[in-house]
Amino acid sequence: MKRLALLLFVVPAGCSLFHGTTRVGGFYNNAVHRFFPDLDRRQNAIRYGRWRALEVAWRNGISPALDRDFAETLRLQMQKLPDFPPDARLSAPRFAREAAPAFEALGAADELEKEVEDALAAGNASPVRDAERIEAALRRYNRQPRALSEPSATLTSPARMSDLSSARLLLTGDWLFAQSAEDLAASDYGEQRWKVHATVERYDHEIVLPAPSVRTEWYRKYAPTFTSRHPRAAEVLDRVTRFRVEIFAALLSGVPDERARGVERVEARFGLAR
Amino acid sequence: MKRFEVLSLALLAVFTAPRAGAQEISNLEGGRPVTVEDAAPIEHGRLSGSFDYAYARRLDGVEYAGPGLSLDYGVLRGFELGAETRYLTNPRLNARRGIGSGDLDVHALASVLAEDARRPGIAVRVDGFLPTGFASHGADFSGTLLATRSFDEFRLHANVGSLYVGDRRPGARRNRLFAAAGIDTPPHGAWDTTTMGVADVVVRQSVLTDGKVSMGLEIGVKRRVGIQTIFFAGLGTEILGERDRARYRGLLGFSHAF
Repeated sequence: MKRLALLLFVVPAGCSLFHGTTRVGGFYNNAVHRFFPDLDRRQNAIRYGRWRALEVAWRNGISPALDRDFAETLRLQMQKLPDFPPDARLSAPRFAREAAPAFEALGAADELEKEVEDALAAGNASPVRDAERIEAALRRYNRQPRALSEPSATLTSPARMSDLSSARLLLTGDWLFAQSAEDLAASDYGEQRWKVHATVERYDHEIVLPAPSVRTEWYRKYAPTFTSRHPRAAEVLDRVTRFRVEIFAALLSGVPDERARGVERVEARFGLAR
Repeated sequence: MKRFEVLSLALLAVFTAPRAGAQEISNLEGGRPVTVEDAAPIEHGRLSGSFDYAYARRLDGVEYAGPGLSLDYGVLRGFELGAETRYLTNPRLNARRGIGSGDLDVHALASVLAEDARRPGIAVRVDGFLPTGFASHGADFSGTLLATRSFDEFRLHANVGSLYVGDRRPGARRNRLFAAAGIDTPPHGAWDTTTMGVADVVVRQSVLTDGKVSMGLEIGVKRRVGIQTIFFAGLGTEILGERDRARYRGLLGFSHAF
């Protein structure tokens, strides 16, 4: 029995060390939630919006009428500012069980995005620590079976995406993630607060009338300091945005089989095996 | 093993946990707040600790209460190890009904099939009940098959298993079959997954070979109260069974992801 008890505690510790990360150096997990609650609540609203948009699009496709209704719901819900992130399995249940590779890939990407922002928002953040923590997060992400690979050729964003109000709202959310990463990376703890505050205010205005363009290189465009310091992370996070845009584009069809085949094609392009 | 060593190792496990993501509210833990458990082990690399306090009153008027503690760790993708214990007043009376006080339950939960469009998620759980408590009689073991099927608004769960009693008393059963069926749903819809309601029906063979089958009904709620913390509460009653079955049972607790 003693051996069993010993095993129970030694195994987690051993596995944790295998991950190459220890928390002894600083409790930076959930730093955005602790230190930047205004930003965190908006990011949670965007996370809800992303999962719900996928679920609705997977079930019904995206027609102009549905887009109008959904964009209105999305705008209202995104103003509610939840304190906690969604449980993706409950927010997008059908997408989770019927398009598991894409669902798991987006879940892993969400986790990476969160870990990167938490590292930047930590109370004891510094360029060296940020780099170490972000590299550790990338290592964990790359070990995931559903980590996205770089597609061989870049597809241009489908023209119809710009016409969709819900897509523009969600891409404004992507902008918030990139811009807040830049604010956190390019300033010290004292300045971060004001920069993030200004970004949140700008987001609140932009969400009312999002920009008409669809641009998917968000980190490279809006987070130059973050991109220069953490090029691999910026590359992966922009890849995730492209993946998300392509998945939405695949769900534009009104025919369920076409939607499923479209998602499978996007999964294959990004190296996800069924 | 000395308590100090156990505590040191537990602290080591906590401090070296690789990351502290948010606690997943959809991950049901058996007995917290209701008996039924979903067919999904805790996420890989996540350590979750729970503390709760339970109170029950039996039909024959006996009351018992006590705290429960549990630890779960996602050792591998789709594989969880865990341990739990519960202390109860009236341990000797409860021991006759197969309810231990202070026994250490060590379990492994492995996902066998992930849920997809056609089939439910399937998992297998194996428990070893070590006789570390009061009025304990030998080690018991159980094996459980768990299934979970999600629908657009709710999820259904089924657990079926058998408890092998290692040190059987006179007139007691060697193998006790048990089954639970449950449903859970976020009551505020998919736009707010902070709260989840859950209910189940539990059927168990009696400890005694000539005893009656017991049937219990339970309802519970889980609510995220912190980025890593979930509050849970459950209420149950046994509507069929022996005269010493529970008239009602309540439970309050927290689980925290490290």
